Amino acid sequence: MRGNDIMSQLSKYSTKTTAVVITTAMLTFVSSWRAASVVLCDLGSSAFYACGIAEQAVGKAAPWFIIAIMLFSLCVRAVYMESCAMFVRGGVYRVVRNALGPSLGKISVSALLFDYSLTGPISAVSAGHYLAGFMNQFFMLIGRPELQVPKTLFITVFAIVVILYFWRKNVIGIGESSGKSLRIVQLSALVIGIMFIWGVVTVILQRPPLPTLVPAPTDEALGWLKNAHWLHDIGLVGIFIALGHSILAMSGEESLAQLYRELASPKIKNLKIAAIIIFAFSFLFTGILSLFAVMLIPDAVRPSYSSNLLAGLSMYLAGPTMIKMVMQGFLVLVGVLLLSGAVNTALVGANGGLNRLGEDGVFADWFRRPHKKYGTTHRFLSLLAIIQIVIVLLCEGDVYLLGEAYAFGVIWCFVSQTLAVLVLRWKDRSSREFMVPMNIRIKDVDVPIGITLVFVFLFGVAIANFFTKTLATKFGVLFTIVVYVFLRIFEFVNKKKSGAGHEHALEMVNLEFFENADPSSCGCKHEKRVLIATRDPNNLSHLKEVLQKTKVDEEDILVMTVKQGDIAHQGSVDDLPTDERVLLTNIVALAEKFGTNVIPIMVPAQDPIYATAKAAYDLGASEIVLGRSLKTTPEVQLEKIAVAWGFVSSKNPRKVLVRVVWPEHELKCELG
Amino acid sequence: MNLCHYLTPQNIVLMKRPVSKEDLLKGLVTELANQKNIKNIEYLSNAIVDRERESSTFLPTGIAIPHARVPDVEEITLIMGVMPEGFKETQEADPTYLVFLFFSPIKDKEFGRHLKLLAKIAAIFNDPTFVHDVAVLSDSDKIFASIQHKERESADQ
Repeated sequence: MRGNDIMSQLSKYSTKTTAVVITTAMLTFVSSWRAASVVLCDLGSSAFYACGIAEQAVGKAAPWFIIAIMLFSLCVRAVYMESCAMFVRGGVYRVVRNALGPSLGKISVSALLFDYSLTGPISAVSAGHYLAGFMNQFFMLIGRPELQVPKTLFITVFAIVVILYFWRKNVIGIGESSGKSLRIVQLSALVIGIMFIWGVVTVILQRPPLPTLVPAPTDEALGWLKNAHWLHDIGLVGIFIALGHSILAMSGEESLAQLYRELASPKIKNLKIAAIIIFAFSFLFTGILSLFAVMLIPDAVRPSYSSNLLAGLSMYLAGPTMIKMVMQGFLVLVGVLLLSGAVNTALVGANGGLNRLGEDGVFADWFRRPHKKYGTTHRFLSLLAIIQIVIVLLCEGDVYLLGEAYAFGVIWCFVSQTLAVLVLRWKDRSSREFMVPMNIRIKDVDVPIGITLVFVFLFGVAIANFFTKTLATKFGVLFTIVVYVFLRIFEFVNKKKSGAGHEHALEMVNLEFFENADPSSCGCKHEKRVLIATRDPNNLSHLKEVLQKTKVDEEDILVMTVKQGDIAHQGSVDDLPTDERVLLTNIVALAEKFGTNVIPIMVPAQDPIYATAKAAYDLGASEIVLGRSLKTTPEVQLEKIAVAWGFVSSKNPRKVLVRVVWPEHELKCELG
Repeated sequence: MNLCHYLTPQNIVLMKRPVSKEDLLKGLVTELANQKNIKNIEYLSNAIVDRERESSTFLPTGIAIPHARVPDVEEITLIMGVMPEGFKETQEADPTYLVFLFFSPIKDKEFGRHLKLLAKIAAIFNDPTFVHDVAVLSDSDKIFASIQHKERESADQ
């Protein structure tokens, strides 16, 4: 027997690595700065209007309450951080569902989705207002009043353009959209830094009096409590009412929770950094600058700046008017950018919320199917963009009504989220990477004093808000019920259509087929590569070990599985058998947990060990990591891979480190 | 790591087509034990057969590398069986022409050498045509020379 006859027998030893690369933008991870900037676009933009609105409701004490809310936001963020430490794919829905049941989870997310639907339009329309106002002022200043822009049309078109812009950036992926948020926040930080220093100098020079600490709610601000005179004498009630009217300064926390799954390794450390960045920026920007504004802008003229308090502040700083006007111009620009960035925050948060619902089978898989090129859940994003554009068109540039309706979802979400984290201290007693401080250990429970205090405080504010922000309560309750009913209908229809046994939690990804896989086609970015062979979805401890120890900025992690038999040439995850989907879902979940990018590939082959060695050789891996086999010993696994490596590397010998890893054990050797 | 460090023309055995895989393995173990004066043939045979049961070392390239780690040897001890007519365990199985049977010490520090020898044998005999050409030489000196030449050629590359 010679030549071709013999070679034909080697069909199970393929001479090339054919691979299906699992492409998904879900495995894009962002830094703490990027995560913080997404939140800050929302949180920071409130500096332009929060104190003005709060002052109209509770008087000159408003900045103290804004500062209190900024300080308190750190506590709420800590609650979110504890929930993130428990659920990588978290957010209010997942946390509340696990602690308090699926119905309450859906009610919470319905309230939140209502607010997210409003956040985008309010921010985009407000940005349009600032820009239109600034342009018209500018044209007046240069003596060309005939160039005045038609406000409503301009604002509507501008808002729609901003929504479409961030819709597109989110379809491309979080790396793209968070990059834009980061640029916005960087520019804002520069302008705000100058404003802050200038404000401190002005306060030192002018020594204006501090505003009163006592809130003075107007009749309108008392809402349904207007006639409950006995309550007016209780100081604490007044404080909670004032806090209720200031809570709109605190938003974006849910977006942070939704972003957590895409936060880079080390996740909790980066989350803490993001939380500190958010606190520092929002405290100085929204809190202290609001205080300066009330101190420095004369009482008589301050109401005229209520919708853009910082622009007003810039005009009452010490210094020449011309420079102050330039500063005002920069502030308007920053305001426009931050408010536009808040559209991104709303899309990120709402998309995350809808994804969690989708993973739970509320929506048909069609919604979750990833974008062919970018791997993002573009259908959810498109749906959200359409809703936001419709709201923009309906409001015709008038944000007052929407602004009044806003904040119901945010506060009740905080309440349900905090209650859920509180309950989970008893329901899930496993250790957490992060816990809200102030705990007393009794037996195996960390009794949460800190979370309880946060919950009591939030509940008090929510109740005050409920009775005093009547328009928000009416709209909020109505829309929450409507969204909740819709979610239940979607869920019912989807479950009926897909059958009781349908598995919804499986990952949705795209497949890309390569006849001859190489590092470039698989998306490798580094010279150093490690190949991890996987087979059993419940035996991924070796992948976990690699994710814990690998420096992702230095090497690529290729996670490989061998598919025996035919393999899809192109398409979606539906083309994969359930076993492979479960394995892939678990791989993605682990990668998300550690915030480490992996490249999942599937290789069609008959001999898994040979295919692993061949793929490692063709993809230039310097390390092969195997999990312990249930069928044989680690020694035999190494012997088999040694034979396969000798075979594949015979023409061009190369060194490779092979490790068999299982819990607390490792057997390794260098070949070649 | 060189294969020819462990191989000599004396431990290349030309074999007739064996009746079974076990027959083939036991025959080679007996030959190796006699050549190297190792006792306990049954234990060695069982070690090889047990390892084969765990995972076959018969490759589709026409070679087999049965091996075991045992306490009875101080260093790697190898024998090569040559079957010009080929051996098929079953009708559907790939034919095997060359069998490299070896024992290595059980010590952990020797395991790396053990693995490298496996890789080396697989590397030299990765071409089925070369395997077949070696098998039909029918002379242990020529077979050894051919392997030595191939190994040197690979090293030069």
